[in-house]
This record gives sequence, C-alpha cells and structure tokens, in this order.
Amino acid sequence: MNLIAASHLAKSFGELPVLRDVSLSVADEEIVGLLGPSGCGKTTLLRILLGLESYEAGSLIGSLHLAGYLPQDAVLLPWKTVMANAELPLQIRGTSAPERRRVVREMLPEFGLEGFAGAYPHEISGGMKQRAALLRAVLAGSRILVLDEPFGALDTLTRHRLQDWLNELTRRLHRAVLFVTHDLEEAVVLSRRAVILSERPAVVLGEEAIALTPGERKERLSRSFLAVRDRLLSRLEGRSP
Amino acid sequence: MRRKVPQRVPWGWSVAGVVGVVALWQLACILLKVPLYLVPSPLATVEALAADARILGPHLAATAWESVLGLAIAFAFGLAVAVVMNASRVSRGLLYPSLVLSQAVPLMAVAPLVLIWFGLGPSAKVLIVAFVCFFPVTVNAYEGFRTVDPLYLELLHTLGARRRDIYRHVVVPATLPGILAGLRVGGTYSVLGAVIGEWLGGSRGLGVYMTRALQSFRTDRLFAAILLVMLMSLGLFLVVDGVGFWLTPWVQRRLRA
Repeated sequence: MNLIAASHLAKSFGELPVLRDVSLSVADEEIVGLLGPSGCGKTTLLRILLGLESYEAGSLIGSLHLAGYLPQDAVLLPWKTVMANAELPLQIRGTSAPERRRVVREMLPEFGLEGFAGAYPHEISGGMKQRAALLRAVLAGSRILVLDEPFGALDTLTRHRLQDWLNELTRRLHRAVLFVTHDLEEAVVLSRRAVILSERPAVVLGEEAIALTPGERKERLSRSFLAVRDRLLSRLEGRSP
Repeated sequence: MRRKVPQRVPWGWSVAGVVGVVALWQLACILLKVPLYLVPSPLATVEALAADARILGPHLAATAWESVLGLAIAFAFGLAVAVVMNASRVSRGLLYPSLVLSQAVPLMAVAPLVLIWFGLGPSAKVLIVAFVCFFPVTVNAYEGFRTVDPLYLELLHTLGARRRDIYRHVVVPATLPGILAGLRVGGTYSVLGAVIGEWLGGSRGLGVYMTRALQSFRTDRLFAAILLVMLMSLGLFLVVDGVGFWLTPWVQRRLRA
C-alpha cells in the first residue's frame, strides 16, 4: 500500500521552474532514495509532500502532513536540551512528562546520545545533532520518515559511520523512509529503490531497485556496490545503464 | 574568521566606573567650592538622604509601587498587542503606525491631562508609567516574533503543533532575549514616568518630594531623591536581568562555554 503517491507534480518560484514533472510513490516500509544534483528541487519536492509548499500542477494522494521530518541542518531548537528536543513530538501529542522522558531515555543509547540528555545543541557535535534530530523524527510516530540530506554537512568518516548506522536502524524500525541526497554512495547504502531526478527543472530520469545485502551495503569498494553506484551515475548523467 | 562570542562584563569594571565618576564629582565640589544650593557633593547628598530617611521611605514605596505596577501592565498589554500584530498583516497594519505615533506624543504636555482625568492619586501615575513602558516592550516582543526562524515554525507544523504549541515551544523562547531587553528599557523608563506623574501633582512619591525640595532650595534633598530614583532603576534592571538569567539557561551555558 502506498503511503504517498505524487503524480506529475510541477512547481515554479515566480519565473523559475523548479519541478517540471515528478511522479513518486512510497509504499509502507519501503526505503526510497531521491537522488539528484544539488539545487535540482529535491528539497522543494519534499516540502510539497510535507505540506509546507504549494504546487501548481499534478496531484498528491496521501499526505505527509504529519511526518517524521529531519530537515537539512537538523533544526534542533537551541533553547531545548537534547532530551527536550527529542520529546517534543510526544509533548505536542499530549504524552505525560514521565512517560515521554522514559521513552526518550530508552532510545538515547541506540542513537549514540547516552549521557547527553541534558546537553544543549550547541554543545554536541554535528553527527550527534543529526542523530538527535533523527530521534525526534522517529518519535513523531508516523509511518514514514522524511530525511533531507541527512548527513550532507558531515565529514566523510562520520558520514560513512552514520550511513551504516542508519542502514541498520531502518531495518529494525519497520517504517518507510523517503530521503533526499546528492551523494551516490548514500543512495546505494540506504535505499532499496532509488529515484533519479534531473537538473532543474526536475523530471524523473529513472528508477533503480537496489537489491544489495546488508553486508554488501557496507563495502563501499566492493564490486557489487560499485556496479550499483555506476548504474546510478549513468542514470544521473542521462544515459541508460 | 572567529565569530565573536558575547562575553560577560566583569563586575569590577562596572563598579570602578561608577566609583570613579562619584569621586571626580566630590573632588570637583571641593576644589571649585561649589555652594550646596547649586550642586551638592555626593557626601552632602548621602547626608541629606540619611537625615530624611524616615520621610523618604513612604515616598520611595509609592514611587516603587507605581513603577512596578505600571511596568507590569505595560508588559501584559504590550505582549498581547504584539501577539495580535503578529497574527496577520492586517492587524499589523492597523496597529503599528498608531503605536509608533503614540511615542511622538510629548509626555510632559499630556501628563497633566492624565492627572485631570484620573485624579491626583496613584492610578494616574500608574497609567503614565504604563504608557511610557508600553512601546519598548511591545516593539521588542513584536520584532522578536516577526524574526523567528521559519525553519523552526515549519518543523513544528510537521509535528502537528497548534498555535499554542508554536508559541510555547518556539516563539516565546526565541523572542525571550528580545522581550527581556524591552523590559530592561521599560524598567528604566518606568521610574522616570512615575516621577514625572508625581512631579505634576499628588501627595506621595519621590516626584512630590523633589518638587518640595526644589521649592525650598534644598538641592541636597533633591539630589538624595534623584539618587533613590537611580538606585530604583538599577534595582529594576537587575531584577529583570536576574529573571532573564534564570529563564534563558541555554544562553548562559553558551556564555560560560
């Protein structure tokens, strides 16, 4: 069953066309990567799906209005501790304070944040911020997580670690994930299906099912990994693989 | 380039600055042999304060009460107006110009009228204080509301937050430093507003005491009252600062780091 299905979406900002014709669907527990060059309108597409932006043509079935959203740059509230940021979705839904703290405390270790519940965002590293924001997204409790370049701003080593970690995590969460990236490797590591977008104004160039085993997804230099990466790259460059 | 981190000003320097000015003033009075009725020295001021302490007490209490009450009213009303202005462009357009124009009203010209309308009792003074403090509180709060990072607001929308949640979790904490700044400015204005009101008529308050001191050429008493006004403003400032310190732990943690 599709959690969301967008067909033939189009959007422009004034004179600037951003999306020309984008169709996309995400099924329950499916992990879909949206791969496209920087500035191609990926974020705009996510924002339309999240109900934060209007669109001019096309249709949208299902809405991500309440989604576990991880924006670019985490967007943790600077006046709240890691604990208070993470528990925010529960608080808005009216969960009692002891209950929501218990839930967060239980999940902190898995997100590598044990002992940092009382830290403010400016006191923790970039990788920890992304994990804290992801924890908040997970606790939003929707069937789908929407991640906007989850690890784009991090150094290579941290990014690799977090990609592997997220890959493990998504297998246990049983949620659908829709994420946006311009990083080929990230698309290979995380997605079960990759949707490739053109440069602005975006159209869908193609799709690739990625049937690697969890082990293969970690071996960024293995033949099978690189083969998938090459296929994605040719799609991205507008050639058929 | 390294970003400049705001740092706490060391206490010692603030105290040294004030002490220095007072010392210069005392020295000038002695060296220039200024007569008491023209400019009393700091020592003479303190002596007058001590001598008249029992009379000054009730006057001080009256002024303090009017200042704090007026400031509280300005704060509550100002926040409400800021919230309304923030609600839509129409409400902003309706209210903002009047708000700015209200500040152009010469207080000294209108204050006597306020006393005619509301009598010589404390209520007229409280109203004048509220009128004076209303602008900095409202403008600081509204400008804060308006400049909240939309990323935070959008995030809250994706979590299904209602308006109340958005104010509680984003708008109020984001604008708290601005609101406190407005309150600090308002706090210093408030005592002045009360004194102006009392100056124009009444039976209690430091302003009343000042007019009496001036009429009997007791400049040392006038200065004693001025000293109390200054101390009261400073006290209000410190209270607002303390409350702010307590309300914004995330800012304090950054300053200390």
